[in-house]
Amino acid sequence: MPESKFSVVPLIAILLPWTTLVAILVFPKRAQRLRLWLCSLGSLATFGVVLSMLPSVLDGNRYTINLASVVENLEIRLYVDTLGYYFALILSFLWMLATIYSISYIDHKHNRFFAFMALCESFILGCAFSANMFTYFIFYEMMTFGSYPLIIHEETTVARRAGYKYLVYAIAAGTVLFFAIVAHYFWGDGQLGFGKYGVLSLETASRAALMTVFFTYLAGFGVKAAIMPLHGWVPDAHPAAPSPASALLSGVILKAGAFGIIRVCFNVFGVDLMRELKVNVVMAIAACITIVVASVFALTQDNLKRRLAYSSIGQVSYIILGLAMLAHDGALGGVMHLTHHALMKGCLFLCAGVILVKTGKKNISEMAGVGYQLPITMICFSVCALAMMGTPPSVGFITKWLLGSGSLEAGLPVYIVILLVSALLNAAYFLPIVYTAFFRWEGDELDEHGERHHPKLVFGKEADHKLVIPVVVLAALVIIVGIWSNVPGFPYSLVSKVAKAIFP
Amino acid sequence: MKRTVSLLFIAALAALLLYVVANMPPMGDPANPTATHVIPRYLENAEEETHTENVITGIILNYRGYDTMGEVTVIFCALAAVLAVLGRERRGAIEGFVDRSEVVSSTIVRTMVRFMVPFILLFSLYTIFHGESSPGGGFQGGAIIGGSMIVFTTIFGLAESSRRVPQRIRAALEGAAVMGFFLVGALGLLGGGEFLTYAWPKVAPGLQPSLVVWLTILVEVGIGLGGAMVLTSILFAMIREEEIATAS
Amino acid sequence: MGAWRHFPILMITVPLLGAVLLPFLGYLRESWVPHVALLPLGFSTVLGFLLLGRIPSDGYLSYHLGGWEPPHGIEIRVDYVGLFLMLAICGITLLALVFSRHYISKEVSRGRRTAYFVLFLLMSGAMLGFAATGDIFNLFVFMEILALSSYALVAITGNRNAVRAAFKYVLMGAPSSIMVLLAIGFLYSATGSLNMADLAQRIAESGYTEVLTVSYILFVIGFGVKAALFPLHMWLPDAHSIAPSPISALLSGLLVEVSAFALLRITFSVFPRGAADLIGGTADAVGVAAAAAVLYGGIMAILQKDLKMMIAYSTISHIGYIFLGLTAFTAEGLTGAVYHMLDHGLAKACLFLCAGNFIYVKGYRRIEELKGAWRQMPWTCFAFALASISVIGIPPTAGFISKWYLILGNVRGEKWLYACVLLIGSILAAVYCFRVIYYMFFQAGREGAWEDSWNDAPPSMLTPVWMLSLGTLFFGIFSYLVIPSLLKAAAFLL
Repeated sequence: MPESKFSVVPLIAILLPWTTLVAILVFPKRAQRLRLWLCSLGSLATFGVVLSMLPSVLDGNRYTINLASVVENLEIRLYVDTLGYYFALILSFLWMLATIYSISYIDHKHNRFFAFMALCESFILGCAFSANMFTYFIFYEMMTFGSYPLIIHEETTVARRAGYKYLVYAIAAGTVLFFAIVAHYFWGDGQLGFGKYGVLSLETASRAALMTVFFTYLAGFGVKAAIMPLHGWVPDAHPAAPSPASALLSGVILKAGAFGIIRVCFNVFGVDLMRELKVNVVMAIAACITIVVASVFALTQDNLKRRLAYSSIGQVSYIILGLAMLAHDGALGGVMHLTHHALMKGCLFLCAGVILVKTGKKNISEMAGVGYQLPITMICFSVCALAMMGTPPSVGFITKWLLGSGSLEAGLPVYIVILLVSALLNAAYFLPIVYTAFFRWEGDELDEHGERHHPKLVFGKEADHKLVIPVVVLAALVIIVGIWSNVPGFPYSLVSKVAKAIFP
Repeated sequence: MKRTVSLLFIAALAALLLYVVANMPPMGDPANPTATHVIPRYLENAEEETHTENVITGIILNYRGYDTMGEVTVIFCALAAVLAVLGRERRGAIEGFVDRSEVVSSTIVRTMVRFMVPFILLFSLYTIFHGESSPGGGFQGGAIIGGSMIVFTTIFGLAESSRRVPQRIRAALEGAAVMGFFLVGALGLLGGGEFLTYAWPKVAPGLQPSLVVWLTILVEVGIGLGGAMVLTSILFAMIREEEIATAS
Repeated sequence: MGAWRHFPILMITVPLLGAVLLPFLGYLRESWVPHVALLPLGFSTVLGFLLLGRIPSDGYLSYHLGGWEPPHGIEIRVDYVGLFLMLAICGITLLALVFSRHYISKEVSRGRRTAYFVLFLLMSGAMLGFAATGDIFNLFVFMEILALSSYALVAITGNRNAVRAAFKYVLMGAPSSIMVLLAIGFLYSATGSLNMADLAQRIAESGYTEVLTVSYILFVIGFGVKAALFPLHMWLPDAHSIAPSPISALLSGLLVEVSAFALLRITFSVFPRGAADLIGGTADAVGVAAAAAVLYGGIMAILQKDLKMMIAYSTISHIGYIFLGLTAFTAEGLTGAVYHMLDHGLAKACLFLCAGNFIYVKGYRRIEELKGAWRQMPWTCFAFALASISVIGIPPTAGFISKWYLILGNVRGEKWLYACVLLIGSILAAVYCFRVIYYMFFQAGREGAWEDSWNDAPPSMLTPVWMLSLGTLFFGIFSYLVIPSLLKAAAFLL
């Protein structure tokens, strides 16, 4: 671990969401609205604390705090480096928006939902700020079980079944991951920390041993990151969960798996060792298959959130693909896509939530003319859908551009073909939604002049502000971040440092 | 199937044990590990070190007194187990029991028992008090007292004998053996030694031989009384169970 | 050495003294018995805490009873691991005793209540003596007290099923005691000594290898029955599920653990490393049995319909964990095993006491009936969930730490298969635990099965439950207080 300063700020960031629990416990049931606002204030404060670290992180400062050490090398330690900070920033931002959105969206059992939202945020911030695999695993497991009540929140049979599937996948994955960490600890001479260029080397362990560690890690995190064929829980859990929860599932919790893989690649194995072991080939193949197959599956879905879920499966694999290129631009694009996708997919899921609340429609085939009823929402939806395809100027374009450049750098132009196919498929499954929403409407009535009647665009009345504002903010960011990615705090400003350090 | 498995298991165990016996050190060989390691000290020094002429008493009450403390706890535990399964009579309830034995014992038997029991008790006291210098001791003496109680109860019935040994006394003295050991142990601690030391090196260095004898007798008395009361209580609990069974 | 060297013997004998004094108190004032019974155990607990830090992790406290130096006298030898276990025993028994006061009014009839507390104290004292002793015959003596009191406590409700379960227990327990006695006899005949440390030296010099090998096998079978090591576990499910809940907590949370601990002492202190060829084969067999136990216990627990039965089978599975840690023969494995004794004790005791709460408040025993229990008994349900998480081994509970070391130990010992078995065991645990949690929190119960308002068990029953479940959390988060010393102590044992 590089030089770092002691600081309690990361701990404060992790503990702040717990104030939500205090709010729920302290204030009486009558003050329900007060409670809910305090909850969102909690997430706002968390985001503020995370944001306050930005200048010094950009200056290259590292913060650390040791919570507990079991024995030497086996400690629960928080550590803020650029990569972890980057993840923490986007997740606390998205979480804040989702919490505000939930105030209006959630209609029963508020306390449980908000309490577990806060707990999950705390745990996943712990993931982002962990200094070693042991800490990462501990927070990761807690986050896994903490998110279960969010998925089954509706308590319908479908939700229960999805939650069950989620648990089965999560427990199996946790077990594999646990094994991976023990093997890592054993063969890595007890070095579980994140090193700048990786900590494992062929000097301490055999090739086969390191391959075992790598693939158990990949399988363990791959369940969360939804690498096919480990993705089974994703398409069920997303539609079953309430929309803010699905936005977070897709925007953050899936990314926790992807972030784990990023850590494994950059900070545990290191690029050179991966190149030596040639494990990136398997990663790349799995990612390519996932990107294409998930997009094809998405085409066949009529349920909007299910289609979005399949889309997420494909998109998260962009990150994996970017890592597997082992090239500067590839890594840059992959890691930046973590934020990009969180913004886009977060927005899309929140839009789906607005549609569900206002019209009660879940399936795309029923959504004819929705665009006239909910113009702002659907415009935001369209912006994000176009961004998903990679249209400039948007975050999606940056990802595609960097990944394409990375594949040339890696000398494998075949990835560009995959990216193009994926863009086409994205268009194929997103454009019909936009088309249905704006260009088809029910009842082709004719007006008195015998012309087809257009429903009127109605602005300003579409939904509660607490639902619309997060959607608009996210859609705006999709464009803004796509244009000025270099603004401090935006992905490029942070990730470029990481990528430069790894690929000098 | 089950039977075959258990037979096979037993056969295997028997073969194992026979195999061990065949390979054990020869019986009675003076070069045996058992005969050369700890035993010689017991045989040669027990009398001076424990101030008891009876080496066995010296070993069980002194060298390995802690084991014996455990054993008397086992006996007490057996009583507690019986009471746990059968339940204890309510306070004072036992007087209400009626003698339901079918054959009323004859006057001759009654007179004989009434005549014999004091002598049996006297003998048991002798056994207890003389345990440190001759065969005998608390366990044997207690068993004799218990035996006399059994004889008395079979002839005179539960109601009569529980008037002689009321629940109050039994409840207080059932644990006398453990209490005796604990008392000696605690006194040993206070006297500056280890737990269960029969001497008080710091308090009364000159008194040691007689002190050891008195403390040994104290333990023996505890074991005797405790054992007797445990036997009696178990007997009463079982008869009561019988009474309840016949009554219902 | 100050006066504190006397603490272990007082910790052992004071509960025994308390037990023999209780019948008279029961005669005078029966209602005082549950309260006064707390005193000796509280005394022991205090002494145990005072001993903390006085025993180095690479040394031990040797106490010669009656002043006779071993091997002629009996020795109490408390090392770090032993003290650790003694503290666990004190804490858990004390909490179970607090819990008992209300609970037994449901299951134990009036005439037996004093006997219940007497046996309870006997069992606690015997466990302490069992964990502390350095003499192998003394071990047997305490094992007898322990066995006898546990038989009786299983049967204490007096109904037909309880007596039958206790009888089954006796049928398996009594032969196992005899086997241990035979094993001690064989050891004595081959070495002439009963002191563990002395035995270790004499075994290395003794030529009677056959006798020693068989003696070890008999120890394994004898203590294996007591610890319910598969396939010698038949008595456990009935006995643990039928006994009153605090007793189930003791049986499952402590008794099987101290039996496993006895085998640990015999394997590592009596048969030292020089005698590895004597015990190697048997230890391998134990490893296989333990692996089978993990799987068998887990699968059977999934199949159960009765809550206490499920917890009992889970115990069989977890005993397998402990033995897998022992047979790894590495410091990490041993540390994991000892730590698992503690956290399994805490978690299992908590689960059984929670089951006791359900029985006390509603009389419900079946898992099905717990649907929607959360609405009426949130405190019990949350404690149950927390303890289950430790049973599964999810961070940050203590179960995770011990699982970590168990698996690491097996990996260090190059027993990859066992490491996988341990992982599968935790998946099975997740299945049976989450089923109950799911029923409690996320399922609606039958109409009228639960009241809508909070009506949980009385505080004297909730406090022990919560202290135990928070204990699992505490030892998970603050494992660094114990683990380094345990690792050192384990290395010392090896």
